[in-house]
Amino acid sequence: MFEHLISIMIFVPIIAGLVTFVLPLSREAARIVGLAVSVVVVLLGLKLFLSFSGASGSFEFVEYAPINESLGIAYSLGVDGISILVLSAAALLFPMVYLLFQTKAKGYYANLLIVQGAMIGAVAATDMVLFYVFWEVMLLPVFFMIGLYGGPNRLPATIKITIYTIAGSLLMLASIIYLGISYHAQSGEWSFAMTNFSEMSLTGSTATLAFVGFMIAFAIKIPLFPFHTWLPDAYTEAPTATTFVLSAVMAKIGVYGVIRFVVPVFDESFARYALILACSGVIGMMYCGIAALAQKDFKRMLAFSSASHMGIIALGIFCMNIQALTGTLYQIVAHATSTGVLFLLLGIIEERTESRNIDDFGGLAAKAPVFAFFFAVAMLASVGLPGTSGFIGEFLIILGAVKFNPIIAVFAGTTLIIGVCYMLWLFQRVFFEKPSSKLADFSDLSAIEILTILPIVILIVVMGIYPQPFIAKIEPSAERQMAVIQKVQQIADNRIEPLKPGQELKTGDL
Amino acid sequence: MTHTVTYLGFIPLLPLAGALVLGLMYLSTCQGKQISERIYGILGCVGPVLSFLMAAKVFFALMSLPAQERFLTHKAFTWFAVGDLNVSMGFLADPLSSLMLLFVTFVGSLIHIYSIGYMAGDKNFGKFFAYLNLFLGSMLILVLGDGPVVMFVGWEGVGLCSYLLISFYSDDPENVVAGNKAFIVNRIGDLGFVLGMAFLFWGIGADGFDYLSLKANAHHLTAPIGLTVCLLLFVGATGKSAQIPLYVWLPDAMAGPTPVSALIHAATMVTAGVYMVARFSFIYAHVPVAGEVVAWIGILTALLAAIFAMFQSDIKKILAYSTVSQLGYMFAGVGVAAYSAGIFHVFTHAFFKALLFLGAGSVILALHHQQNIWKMGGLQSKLPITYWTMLIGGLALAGCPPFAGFISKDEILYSALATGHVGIWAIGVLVAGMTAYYTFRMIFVVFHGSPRDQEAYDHAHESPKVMTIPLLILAAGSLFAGSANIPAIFGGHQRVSHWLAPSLVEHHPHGGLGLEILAIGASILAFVIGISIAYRKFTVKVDEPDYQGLYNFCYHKFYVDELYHWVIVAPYQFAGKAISRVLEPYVTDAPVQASGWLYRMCGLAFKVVQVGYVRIYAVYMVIGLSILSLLVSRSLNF
Repeated sequence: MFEHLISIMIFVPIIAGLVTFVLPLSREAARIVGLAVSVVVVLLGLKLFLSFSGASGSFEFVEYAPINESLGIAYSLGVDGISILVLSAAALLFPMVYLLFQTKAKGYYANLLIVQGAMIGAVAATDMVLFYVFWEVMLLPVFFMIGLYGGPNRLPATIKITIYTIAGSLLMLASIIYLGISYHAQSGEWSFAMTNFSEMSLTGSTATLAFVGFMIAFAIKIPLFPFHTWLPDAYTEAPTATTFVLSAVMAKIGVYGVIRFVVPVFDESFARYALILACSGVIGMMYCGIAALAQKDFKRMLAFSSASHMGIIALGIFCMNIQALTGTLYQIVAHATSTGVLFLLLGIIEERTESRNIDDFGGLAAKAPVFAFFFAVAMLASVGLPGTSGFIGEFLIILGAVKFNPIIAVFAGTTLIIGVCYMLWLFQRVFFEKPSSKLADFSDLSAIEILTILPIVILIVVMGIYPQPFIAKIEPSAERQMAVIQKVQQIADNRIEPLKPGQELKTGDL
Repeated sequence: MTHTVTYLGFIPLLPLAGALVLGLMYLSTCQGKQISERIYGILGCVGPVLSFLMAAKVFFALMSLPAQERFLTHKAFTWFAVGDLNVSMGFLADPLSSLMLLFVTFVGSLIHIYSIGYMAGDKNFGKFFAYLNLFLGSMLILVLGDGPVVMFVGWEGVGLCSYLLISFYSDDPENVVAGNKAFIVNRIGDLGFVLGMAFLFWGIGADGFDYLSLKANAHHLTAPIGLTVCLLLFVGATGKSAQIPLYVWLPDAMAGPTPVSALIHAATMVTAGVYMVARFSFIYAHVPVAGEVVAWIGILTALLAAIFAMFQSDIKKILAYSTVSQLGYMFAGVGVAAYSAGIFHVFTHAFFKALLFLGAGSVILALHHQQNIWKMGGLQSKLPITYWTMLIGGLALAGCPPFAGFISKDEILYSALATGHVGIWAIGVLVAGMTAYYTFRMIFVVFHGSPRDQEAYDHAHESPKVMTIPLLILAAGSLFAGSANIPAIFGGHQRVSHWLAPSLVEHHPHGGLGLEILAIGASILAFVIGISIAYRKFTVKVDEPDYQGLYNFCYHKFYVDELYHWVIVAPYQFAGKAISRVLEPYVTDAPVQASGWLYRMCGLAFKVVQVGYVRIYAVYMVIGLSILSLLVSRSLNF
């Protein structure tokens, strides 16, 4: 059974989602189905995480079955150090959504199920066409969840995210086709396997265009400045469970995509444009972080905060050294847990008080100490306090950035300051000061709610105090990934012999 | 030569475990029936006291070793290892950290005990002790950490606790703002620390990122990187230890309960910056320029804060500025490469400044939370123990021989003189006089003369034993701590300097007897002048001054806070508004809006033709079919 573990994790939720659509289930029954499936996926995800060794840096749990042999498209899955933490986040975080929130319709739960399966598929796919299919399947439920079940201004938000996403997807599709054709031209065979693409040498302006196409598609998803403008609206208008999915997992798949596909395939273009991309990450971090300060809507503030952090996470890829890349891979999960808890707790406040206006709140720490404690832990992880998961990744990224470019690093480091500015001010207005009348009958978290959130809060602390088991799983793959880039850089700096005509740069050389 | 001892890890772990237990107890009961203060109090003091006992054990263990082997280490686990970077959760007890350890746990335990009395009746009693334990645990990680990254864990941990405890009375927004300010200003410093660590790592960290490895590789550090590392780390120190230009948070931090001011904002946390510079003496010693910067920032901070302290009316603010000023001395000491002198002043200062704060707390409690010295007066007879102990603390702070503060401060000033820093020495002497003045201004106004607020005076009474006994112990410390490092000129053996020697890279200057007598003479003269002016002005009946002119300018601390507000805070807030109200909707988002608009315009265009009447569609169909058939027939003709 375990040789098809990933397939099971992908298709159990997707099939359950389709069945939920078709069958005349009640809303509550759909919720129970969702919960049951998500718990099964958690157990499988734990099994996967624990049996994954990562020591070799290559793919494990590999599944392969040809789909279209003449075009070389295959159903091929696998997990390595680059994907293990993203995949775990997608597998482990869902039960909370079903436990904490009631929604309007069963269709909502069906969408949640499908989006989970598709996200796992997108992260595990090692064939580009397969990846593209899962990527698209993953995006559809998001439109429905925002467009059908979102807040009062959901339609403009949905239109915006649709325009963005379709633009990105088309560019990516064109680039994938270009890669397939190039591979055919160079080797005489058809293939869309990731490993084959990374062995091609791509030069010329078309390659750069394809690189840009990929980059824009992922930059939208991350989001990278200036492609972030869909995010505040979408995060704010989406139902909280969807915001949770978007911020905790889906944004990370954008980052993952860059590391998995763009870096190895377009290594030269990537090295050439890394500085610009790094600037974009840092500008986005500062821009969104400063904007967060001025938000009056609790959820919108967290949305900007999330976008701000994604800027730093993306920066880690562009610094092109092992510390920063590992930091990014680690921060993917660290940020998923902290931002996830923040959005969930916000959802609880919103559900109980029917308000998201920060000025309506106050004195919550005295009314609901456990709630405040959970929020504080997630907030501290979000600002990167040592002892929480947020520190390790941020520290590694800044450390790597210093090596890459000290000036970028100084600006990137301001995340330490920008983060606390808006977060502490938020904490003051919501949890401290005089109790507000809106919160007069706000009771503390119930036992179920505590038990639902506690595991993640514990994870935040454990990942801060004892990160090495996680890092040991990701570091070897990151090292392999970096080897390619470093060689390209050294060629650029003329530190080693340039390639002779006819000789190609291969991953295997290193 | 190092020795491994596993119990090192327990020293910070004990208070941390205490914090966890107290925190869980508090969280599970704060909505219902509360646990009694006695249980919280006892549980809260167990961790610190046990840590102190273990610290003593470590100290004696080190003493029993030969001087060059005084390094006890314990590597608990690999924290994270990526590429060349290898960071362990490891601890190092050497002469420097063991001395810090000893007085941090000692003063910490006393202040925990004192707090049982001071916080009695507070509804968040349990939470207070949980935070205080958490603080002590973090402080011990800071001191014991075997490398910069572990130090940073404690560094940020104490910053968090400082924030939580400053905004402890969180109903009042002003207190919370003070807490936020402390956290944010400290974070500016932390940015320097993190970047400094990064440069240090890329410089020499690949062969081990702990102090002992770094020290062994320090000679590989190039001069520019060394200077960058030193200056960046010092930025961190100016944040944590409240030096120019980041000193502004410390006076506001007095919003927290007074035991917190004593423990965190006087005796321990704020001295972390000095400790850090001493810890990295193996780099600073090779970069004299960085040392100059540290020394000058330190002495100028000492001067500025002493000026402010002379004009304050709030008893805690006077002590807060005094702390900033004394920290300035410490930096002047480590800046002129007299690391042991700087650390020795950290050591003595912990006693007398904690004593003064706890004494002030006793006064404040006796007067029902009155902090304005101009509402006090004549309290000498009402609070005898507080008075006498504070007098001892005051004499130590003011630099009266032979109290602790005199010996340690004189050591710093002498070192400045002997290393040729005449300017720093001269300012230091001036500040010494000012210190004597403001200290005794406070003591005379509070305890001498006649009561200014008769009703408060009548209700005042001495604090309970649980508070006065710590005062007495600290008073003994203020009297005798100086004897640990009596200079040779008085027949002493400078035991602390010799003790610290294996941890530091330091050359003791030999200025000769003449310089030594000059330094001591000037210090004593400054003390006498300062205290005499205070005596003449404040033992007669004086009332609250009217805040006008220069006095007002000094009382408002040269309006530096206001300046920072208009130059940094306000523009920052404006940028937030500008981005979210102008830039985001009208500039960054414009292309997307435009594409949406284009889409809608196309829709409008189609709306004109798609009107929904069958007859019109029939016309379109006819037109379409005719074009199609035309095309088909043409293509067939070819």
